[in-house]
Amino acid sequence: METTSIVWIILGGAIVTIVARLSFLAPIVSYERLPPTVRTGLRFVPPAVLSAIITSVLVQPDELGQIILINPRMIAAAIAAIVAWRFHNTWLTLGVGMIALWILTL
Amino acid sequence: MVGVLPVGILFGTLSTAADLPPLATQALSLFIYTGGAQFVAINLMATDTPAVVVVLAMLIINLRHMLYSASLAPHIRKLSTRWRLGLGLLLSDEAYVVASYRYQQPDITHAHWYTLSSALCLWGAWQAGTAIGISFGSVLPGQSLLDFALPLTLLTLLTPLITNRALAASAFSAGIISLLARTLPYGTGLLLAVILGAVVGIYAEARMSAPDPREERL
Repeated sequence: METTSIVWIILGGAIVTIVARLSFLAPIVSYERLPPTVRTGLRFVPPAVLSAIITSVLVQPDELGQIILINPRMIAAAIAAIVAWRFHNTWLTLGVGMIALWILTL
Repeated sequence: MVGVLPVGILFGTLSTAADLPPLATQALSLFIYTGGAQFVAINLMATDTPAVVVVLAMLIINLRHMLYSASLAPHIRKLSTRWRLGLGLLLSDEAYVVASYRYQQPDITHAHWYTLSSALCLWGAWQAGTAIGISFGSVLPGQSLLDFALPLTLLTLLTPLITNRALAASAFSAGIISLLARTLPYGTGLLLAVILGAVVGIYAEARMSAPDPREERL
């Protein structure tokens, strides 16, 4: 990744987080005034973003053009997802996921 | 508070192992200072996502800070602007939990000092953790297993958010659509996945809350 992109990401990221943190000083949009459908929709956005990023990161680096859905990274991630959902433990999830990938790629 | 240092170390390690310069890694912790957005950023940067998309994703992940900010506002309303700015800038998930607990106690004299000092400790632990992780990351070879730890950190952020079937359906569809639309340019695939995922969520929730027709017949 280019240095200029990294600088923009850090700057932009800093601005959006500072605005969110200090939003109590000057409320930008009143949540109560939004239409009910938009309010419901907004609640689904954070998990949708995370899920969309995870699958795109899992598939991208190795394959050239073609999507191979059933690959070791996908399977190991699915196992790790079950562990994450069941136990809510970061270290256990990382451990199980990495061991699963290691075994699958032996 | 115990969890902040090791997660900071993990962030520093993974970020450096993903070939992000040490200075940039520490700058992310200094200026953004929120694990969720930082892990999202290094994941997306590892796959060369356009800067605009990375910032947009960070914005969405950080929207919860608006809720924290709004919920603490009544407690700190009487404080000076300098105090409010300071506490606001140091706001994090953990600091919010500490503060909201402290402000529920019957005696809240000096509660803002308590909040400030715990928020500063959390901040220090996060910075120190990142710095330690950077030295680990440059020692460990950037192997495929460490790269794989990156998306796994996002999984641990995702699963606590899935609290009902509508949320599960929404996240699952977003994941699939993101895969199908991944060849679209400038990260628009991600945007499409999120919008359609939210639509699926709205639809699923409407179906869940609607009365079951079978019950009406009985």
